[in-house]
Amino acid sequence: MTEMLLSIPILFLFIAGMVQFAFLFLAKTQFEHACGEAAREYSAGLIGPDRLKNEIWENLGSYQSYFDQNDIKVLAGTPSSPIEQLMSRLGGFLTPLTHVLRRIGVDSPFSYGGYKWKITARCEITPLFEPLFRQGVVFDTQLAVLRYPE
Amino acid sequence: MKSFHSLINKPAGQVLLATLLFSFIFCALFIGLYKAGIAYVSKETARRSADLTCLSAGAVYSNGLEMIRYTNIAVMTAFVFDAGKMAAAAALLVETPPAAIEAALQADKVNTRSAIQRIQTYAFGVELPNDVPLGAYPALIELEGHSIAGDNGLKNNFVLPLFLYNVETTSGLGLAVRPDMSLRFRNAGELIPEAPQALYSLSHNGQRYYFTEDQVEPAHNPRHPNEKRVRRDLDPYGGMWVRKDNSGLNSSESGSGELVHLLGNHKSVVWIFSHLRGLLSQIKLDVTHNTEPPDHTLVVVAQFPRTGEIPTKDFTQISSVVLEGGGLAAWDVGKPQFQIHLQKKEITDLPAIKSISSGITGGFSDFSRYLHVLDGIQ
Repeated sequence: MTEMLLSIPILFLFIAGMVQFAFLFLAKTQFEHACGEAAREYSAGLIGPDRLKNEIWENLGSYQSYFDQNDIKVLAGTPSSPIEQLMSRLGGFLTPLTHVLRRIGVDSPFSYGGYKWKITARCEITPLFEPLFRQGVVFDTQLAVLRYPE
Repeated sequence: MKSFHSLINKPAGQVLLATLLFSFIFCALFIGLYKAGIAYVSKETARRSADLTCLSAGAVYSNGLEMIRYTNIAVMTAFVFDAGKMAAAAALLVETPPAAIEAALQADKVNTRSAIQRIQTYAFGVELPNDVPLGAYPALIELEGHSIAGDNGLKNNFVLPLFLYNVETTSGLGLAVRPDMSLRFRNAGELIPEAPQALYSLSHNGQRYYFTEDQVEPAHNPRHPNEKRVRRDLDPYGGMWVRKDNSGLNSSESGSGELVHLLGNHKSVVWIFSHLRGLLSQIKLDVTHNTEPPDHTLVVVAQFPRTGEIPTKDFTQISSVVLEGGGLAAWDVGKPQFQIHLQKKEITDLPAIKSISSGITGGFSDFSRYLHVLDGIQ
């Protein structure tokens, strides 16, 4: 009987952990999917870079209840690009060419560009272990995409 | 040991054993669920990273195709000057047309557009010399793709991610791996519409077969002098009567429609120019798609590293984009830019897998034919 008193709570703890992890993994997968879909919409020219956060929120769908829109942070940067490095080194040599191109209405021969984003969000889906995760679980991801035309 | 045996023989000991067994089962379930969850998340991240990498490389590819349109403006502008020079050379011998044409072609041997075409050759990898492995812009597509792959967390080294170019029309994996934009130089003869060829057809066992003008000969039927038959040397329908089929007239090749539009489709003028196709095919013009319909596709085979696994296992992910748009000619500059679309691609669609599977299938069919031969010998 003593063993039962010890083991049953441990078994329940395992079950609770499994349920909690299942929720967390589903929420994390949906978060990754939402970020990817928002980046795809940006690459298709459907949204601008400033709309990414709102698009991620909409793509979360039924999992919005596990997140807080204000907690989603999007940090934008420039993706590492060989052509940008080359252009910065050859800037002086390419000035006459860029003047000619601007005369015919072309800003730059390389009209593609993009962003590299670091996105973080707080998932508040820890009902069974709230004392351990009072601030929820922080999800973060990094992605980059180019689009044409920029 | 005796105390252990005595313990497990008691009810309390058996309860303890059962409890340990359940705990082990639940522990295994817990670990399995955790690993499955991590793999599920990693798989989604890998799929997303491969798709974004492929879209990014497609954006660079699309930019290159648009640049080709602008360079073709320069080529055609130079061709206007060269055409004037050719016309001036031909005008001196206008009374003997064959000599005039020869003089025009001779005058075109040194022209202004060659320099621009040489730039297009090395910049975009169009009909490169054998000692030049790839063009500058295709190399840029590869470099930008690798750079974005690293930003998306994919394995990034000399081999991975693997970019495959225009796999729908490339023969073999070796050619697909080489960065290429599937381009060629068009010649002036392609701008002139070909004289529509009559088609002849016959129906045999419910199946209709079509033949061109050069595949038929007069049937020498005194009652129907215009009747034709399939040339006797063409098996298996040699000698069979055919009838003229107006529904299957050859249409002009792409690119010649513009000239027909300009000429107003006057049949006599078209007939004259169509006979010049062979001569004008020696004049190299602008860059165009290598295939019709155009094939500009990009496939990425990438690996996403899975952390926390011993031994380490990586997710292999495949993604593909197709670029769709109009032509590359100078007069296509105002048309919409090339659109990039993600398309579903399985690893069995790759050329190497196709050739391996067809090789295996061919091997089996050869083997079965060998067995039939043996049956015949017996």
